[in-house]
Amino acid sequence: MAAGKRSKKKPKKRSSRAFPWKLWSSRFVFGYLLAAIFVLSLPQPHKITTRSRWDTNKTRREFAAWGKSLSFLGLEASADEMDAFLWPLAQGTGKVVRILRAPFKPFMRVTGFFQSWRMFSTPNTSTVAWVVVELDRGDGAFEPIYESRSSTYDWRSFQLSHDRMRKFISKAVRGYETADFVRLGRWFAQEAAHDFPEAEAVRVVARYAKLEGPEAWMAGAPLEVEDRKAKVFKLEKFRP
Amino acid sequence: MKGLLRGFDALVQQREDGRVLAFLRMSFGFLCAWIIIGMLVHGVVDSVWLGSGAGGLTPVRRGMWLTRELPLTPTTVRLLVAVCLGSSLLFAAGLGAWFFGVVTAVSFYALRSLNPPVTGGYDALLLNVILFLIVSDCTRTWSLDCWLRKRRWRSDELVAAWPRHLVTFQLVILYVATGLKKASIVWTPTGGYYALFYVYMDPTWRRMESVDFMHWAMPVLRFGTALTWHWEHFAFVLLILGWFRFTRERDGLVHRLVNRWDLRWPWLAVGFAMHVGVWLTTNVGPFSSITLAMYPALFGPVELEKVGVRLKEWLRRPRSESSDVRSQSAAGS
Repeated sequence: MAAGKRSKKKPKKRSSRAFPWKLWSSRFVFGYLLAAIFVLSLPQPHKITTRSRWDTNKTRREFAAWGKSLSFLGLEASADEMDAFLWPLAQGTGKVVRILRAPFKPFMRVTGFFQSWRMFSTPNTSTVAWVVVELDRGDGAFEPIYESRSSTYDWRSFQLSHDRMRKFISKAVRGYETADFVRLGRWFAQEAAHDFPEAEAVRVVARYAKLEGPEAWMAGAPLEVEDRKAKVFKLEKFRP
Repeated sequence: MKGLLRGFDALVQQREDGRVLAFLRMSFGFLCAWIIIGMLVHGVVDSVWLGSGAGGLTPVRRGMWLTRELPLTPTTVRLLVAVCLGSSLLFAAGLGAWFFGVVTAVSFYALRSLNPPVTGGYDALLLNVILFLIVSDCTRTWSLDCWLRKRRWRSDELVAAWPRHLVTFQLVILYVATGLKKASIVWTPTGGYYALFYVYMDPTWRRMESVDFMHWAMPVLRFGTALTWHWEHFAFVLLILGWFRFTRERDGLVHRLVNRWDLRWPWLAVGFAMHVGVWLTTNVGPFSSITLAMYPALFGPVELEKVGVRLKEWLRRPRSESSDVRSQSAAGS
């Protein structure tokens, strides 16, 4: 009897009545990812609302230059005035962006999805810095064996020219904290201890050159070079 | 608003053959492998990704869910490198649908998170595009999956086009965000368009030892600075042009103009020239290759096929003409 009742039922039209899961999941994933790309590319809140980032010499110089450049509108402003005008704006923007980013944070944490595009956004306009490595072969005198981009002092230059090594070297020589500079020095000492078994020590130097601007450079003004950090590492500690 | 939703839905439901997505899959799989191979060849894997206790530059960080669980010994890190290299090549070959894409993305993300200070923007860009490809049907054609299913490399099955549009949107946002964040005065007309002068003065990124070339190349550098800055700001135009091409059946003056001249090509030609310039003069890793590999996503497979046909005709023409001349001269003699 039950079987007879079942056989009288009309077959369900699944295709026409079924919920279009595939379409809706595509809509959701596409929409979510479009929003993620856009929202996460907005300035990161901690970068625009951290006071120590605003108080750097580089930022102050940029403010001064921008303030001066407004003179053609009759609105010349000092670095302090620019700061006073922009700081509350940055705080407000930071608050809004923090709220907008919230739905995407778990996705970022799980997948590594990230948007931060800053190709040469603020080039160094006051100084340039590079690293010099000097070796003491046992006679007490240090001679250079490596200097960034030098074809004369080119010890391990193939390895050190890799972009990730360049990035770390730049961070270590320019950084305000000395920890990275010491780490870089230790790494040089470790490699030198291996490559020069007779040598006594290496000295790692952060060399700076002051930039006077393109006009002065074109006119032939020499670069003022100065060693700002230097550290000696005895190689015996790095040998087995 | 309704029009916007209709447009969004049209993009979601658009289907096309999977050749462009397959090309992106192959490119990004190989580029990921290329990054790892480049690091192995330069001998920097241990320095960058092993902790300072094991000969690396810095202590490793455990910022990612996988690296928090793994014992980060030199053996496990090297194993992670091998997994990333192998899976990226298998992903490029199109095996296992999304599976090797996920393995590539997770292992690359894990490696990247070991030493955040030495990651580049290109790492994030590569990973983002691989994530878009994972949710696409990118192994439908030109893949080992296609061969295993159909015993042939090519399939005309249709796939959703929206993952390709995600790559396009990513490219546009990359350029616009980069342009807007170039906030230093030296990028602007009031700063004299001198940004590239300062970039080349810094020995961190430039390839050459001497900067004497800037004495004669200064006008070129200033022009390059201006071009880069304005071109990046106006990258959003690509989205508008793409939308007009997508809705080309509609009538109207702008549609007729955009249908007549495809302005995406000159825009991309400028981009190509700039990336080649960046690649020749600076070492910023594979940033230019990764960005250029995204360019085909701006076009549908049919559009690219037409370009291919035209290119083939153009390449054949001089040969056939010269062979005609040769055959005539042979007949004459």
